[in-house]
Amino acid sequence: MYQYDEFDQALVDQRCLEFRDQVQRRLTGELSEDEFKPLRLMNGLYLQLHAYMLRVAIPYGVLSAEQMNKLAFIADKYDKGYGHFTTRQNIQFNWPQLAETPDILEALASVQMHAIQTSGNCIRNITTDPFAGVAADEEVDPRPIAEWLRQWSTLHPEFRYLPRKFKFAITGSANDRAAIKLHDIGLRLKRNDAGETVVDVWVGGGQGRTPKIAQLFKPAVALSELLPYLEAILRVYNLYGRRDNKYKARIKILLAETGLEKLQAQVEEAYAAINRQEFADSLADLERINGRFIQPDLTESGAIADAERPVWAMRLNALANHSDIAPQERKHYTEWLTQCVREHSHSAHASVVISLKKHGDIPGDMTSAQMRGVADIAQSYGYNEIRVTHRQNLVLPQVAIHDLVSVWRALQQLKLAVSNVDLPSDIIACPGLDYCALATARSIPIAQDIAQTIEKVESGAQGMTVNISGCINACAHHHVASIGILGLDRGGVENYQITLGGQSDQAARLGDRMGPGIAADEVAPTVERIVHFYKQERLTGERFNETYQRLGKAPFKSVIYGEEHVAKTA
Amino acid sequence: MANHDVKSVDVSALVIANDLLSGRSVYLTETGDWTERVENAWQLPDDQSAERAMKYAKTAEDENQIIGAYLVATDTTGRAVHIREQLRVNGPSVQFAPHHELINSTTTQPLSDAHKSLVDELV
Ligand code: SF4
Repeated sequence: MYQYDEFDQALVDQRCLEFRDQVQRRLTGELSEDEFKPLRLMNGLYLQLHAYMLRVAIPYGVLSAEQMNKLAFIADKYDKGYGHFTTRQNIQFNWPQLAETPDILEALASVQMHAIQTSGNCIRNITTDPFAGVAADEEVDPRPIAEWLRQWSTLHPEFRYLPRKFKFAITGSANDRAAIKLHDIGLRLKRNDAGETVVDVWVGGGQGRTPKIAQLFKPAVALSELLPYLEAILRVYNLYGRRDNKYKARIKILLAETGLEKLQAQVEEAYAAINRQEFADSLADLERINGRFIQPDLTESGAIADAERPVWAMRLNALANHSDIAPQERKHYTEWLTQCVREHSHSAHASVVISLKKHGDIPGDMTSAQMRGVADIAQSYGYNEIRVTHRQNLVLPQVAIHDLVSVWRALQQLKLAVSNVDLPSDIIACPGLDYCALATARSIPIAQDIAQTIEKVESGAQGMTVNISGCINACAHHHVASIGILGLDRGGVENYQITLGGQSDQAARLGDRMGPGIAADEVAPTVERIVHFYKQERLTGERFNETYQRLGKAPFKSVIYGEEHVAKTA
Repeated sequence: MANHDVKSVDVSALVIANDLLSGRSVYLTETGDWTERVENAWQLPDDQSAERAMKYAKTAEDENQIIGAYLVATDTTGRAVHIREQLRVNGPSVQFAPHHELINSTTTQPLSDAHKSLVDELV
């Protein structure tokens, strides 16, 4: 994990002092709400339906056990004993008191955390592959690059008031688990023929009201050119991005309105004008950052040569026959291995995904007791490290294979050995109208209903995603789910629109809208029917979206609305 | 932001806001105070009283007691008409932190029943 240097620490400490003073001035009335609002938002403090909400940054989703313990402490001392992990790999606390927020920021700073740039029209927390640095299919570890970009973008004087918020995502694998094509800028790190790291820059992805898949803007940018090139993109966006209409202010709209070639030319012009001297030390900075990533030493743990490594499925099979597993436990343990354990680049290790989606629970919510428990597990078996995924789950990136049984048992105690990762009940759901001031309908109860309804039928529907947003802002990525659900307000009644066939990986695709919205209590039975229909119609090995593409919209519409309705509207 | 405030009083209305310190939903009372108990809210029968109430609210905002005051339409029983404000009044319709002893269990109710009855009433 990256360790702060004195500069990093001084910056967050200074920000805490500044915010304490700002809160104090608000409480004494020296600052009005209009004056205070932009200041609190710069520190991640929102006002929601029932209370303030503090959004804490988890840079590229990486947490230490100590940091997780601190989040548990904050949840208990300043909130209601829980926190909510988001699709931006952040955590939100839903009930802090204004006067206590400076103390929370101080507690965060004591473990190298903060809430800077988790709101406002600036470059937000940079997200990446939750398996970064450990995935068996990875070409380049994206974490040092993410940290490099974090340092470049944090409080960047030119980019503090962009036309709108700006999001980066980075992957170093051909299998994109960071949804890079749904971000303002997506970076795909790869190696060129000479073995050097180069970066494909994708621009203009995003969701919300006008969803767009990013376009390849410039392939194979050398690392030495990356920061000036990104600076040039941001500079052009800052100059030409629309400020007259917030719904048209993201770079995806600028790209659509300007056209790819013209925008590329504008960026090239800005790039040529950049003073390269300012970036003379950028590679040395990256080198320094690399040196501050403390990597655990996995070498002693009995790795086997790649050539001798059996295929992962066979290894899982062998693991399931562990002698410590009683015959009556074997079924559950095998399910957990299959759904929650992933191949690691080091053959004596695996990555463990911890589902925060127990059927009927709130997606992404975690109690302080669970946080402490996971921190303990990470300390005992996981080299102190935890990741947050954009699917609102956690990952223990490196667990020795021989510790998997112990980890499973410990997770069971915490009610976190839930074997539904990548199954339809592994639902992404935003806070929706239960908390969010922008919402038009609830998401959480719908997610809970769906998960409980499909628990018995979802087995085998691997990779079928269900995402639910409580408004058009699409924080829960409903546009890119196998089944996307968007909650709307129709004359004061919650109503849910269904899209099918979306995906967020390297073959990113927006889902197709099926037709009119349906009532809240119809959503779960509808999802159940879709899962059934898919399982009945699929060819061997076919994923949901493949079945959907092969059969087309019509039969799925019948499943959703009934034959009669479809015939009437045809 | 979705804006559910009303411009003129149809049946009746009340004034809702967030308390500056806690951020919690608070309601204007007839004596010009702010309460977390909706049953003590000042029910405004007409536009004149609503106008007067909003003047109080503006003063309270200027005095940094509350933020974001607006008028909410209520029905004959004094209940908020729109689901958004019903949720503001009752708290989240979901039981947060199900594996944790709740600190304020009075603001939550078991999901499915609460959800279904709310939807039933609205449809
Ligand atoms: S999608 Fe809408 S309701 Fe959900 S968190 Fe985002 S803004 Fe709030």
